[in-house]
Amino acid sequence: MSDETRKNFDEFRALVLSDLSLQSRLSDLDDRKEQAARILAMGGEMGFTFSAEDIDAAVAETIQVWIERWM
Amino acid sequence: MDVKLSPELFDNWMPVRIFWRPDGPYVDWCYMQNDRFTKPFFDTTIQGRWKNLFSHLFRHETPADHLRDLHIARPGLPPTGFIFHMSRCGSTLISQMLAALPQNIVISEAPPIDSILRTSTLDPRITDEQRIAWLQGLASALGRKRFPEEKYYFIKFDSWNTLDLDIIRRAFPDVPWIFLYRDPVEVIVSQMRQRGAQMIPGTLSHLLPGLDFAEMAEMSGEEYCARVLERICKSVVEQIEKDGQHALLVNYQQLPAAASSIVMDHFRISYSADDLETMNAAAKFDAKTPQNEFVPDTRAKRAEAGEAVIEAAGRVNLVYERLEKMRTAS
Repeated sequence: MSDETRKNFDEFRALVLSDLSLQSRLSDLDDRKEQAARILAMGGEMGFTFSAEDIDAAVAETIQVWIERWM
Repeated sequence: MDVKLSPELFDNWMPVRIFWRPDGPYVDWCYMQNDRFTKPFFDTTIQGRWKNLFSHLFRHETPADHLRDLHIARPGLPPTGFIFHMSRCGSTLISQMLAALPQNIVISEAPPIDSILRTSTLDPRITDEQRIAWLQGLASALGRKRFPEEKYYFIKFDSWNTLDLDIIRRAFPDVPWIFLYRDPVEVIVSQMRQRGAQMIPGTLSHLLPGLDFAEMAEMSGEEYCARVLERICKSVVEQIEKDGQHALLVNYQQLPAAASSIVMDHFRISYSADDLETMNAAAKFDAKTPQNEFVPDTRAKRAEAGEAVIEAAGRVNLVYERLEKMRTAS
């Protein structure tokens, strides 16, 4: 993920975390593929540019951070 | 990422881990959807949440002091009872029996609780008062009602948290607590089959102060295990000698009957006949692998104990006998 994309995704994530109505559109699906599609669509609607691969990269980064924080 | 900390933003989120930034401890939060804590351990429930992409990718991160603010704005249920234990002695059986009822919130060996208790070993400038405030805030956050039927709230601590009994008692002076223990031979046999984190030299070195890593590494597994068990149990004896109010000692041999009788009396709760039946049904299954039926293993463990186990258990026997005397005298 490029620095620009990461900044984009982080800003999108911060917006979602500060808004319950945005969260409710993403949180209550159980299927990961459907969730990824909705995250992409919502990001696009709100003017944030990132791809499905960027979401995968963000997932991998989150796992890495979780492991590092545990050590 | 930091977000504005409106309390309503955290209503269905749980504190799942403590991590450090240069200015102190922070809390990592997880969105819970409709998941209750019914698995044998807190982390098993949280790992299940990672299957949900939203829970995985979107996480609040707040300074630990935010726990105090959340406690004021959105207080959790006051704890009904605390469960301490020496490990491998039936504590998961009790917590699983309690978790079988929807009116109970059961938080079992939650890593953020252990981390908050150990903050002062990582940064000696952290005061007891700070730890108490964070612990109260954390317990409150974990005990928030998310389902209307929830009435009671239990915390099962990690076995080594008995070393922090004094701080925990200062944070919650009126909460009744129990300590579960078992014949040391049987516990050491179980630990030698598969060691808990506390039994791996160097992992939780604060449990055995005064020993350097080389000394710990040279020790036999059985002896290391015995020393840790001795420390865990001695902390309980010392606490009860200082302040035995609200304490109940329970020997593994009293289970499972004690779980739905004297333990519940001690926690000042009574359940209906149907609820007791549900709890007792949960007791029929192996607590850590609920898909398997529970098989009593005292005889098998004693038969498996070799010389090294019996010799190491000798170190713990003195404090075990002290606990037995205290239990039978009360």
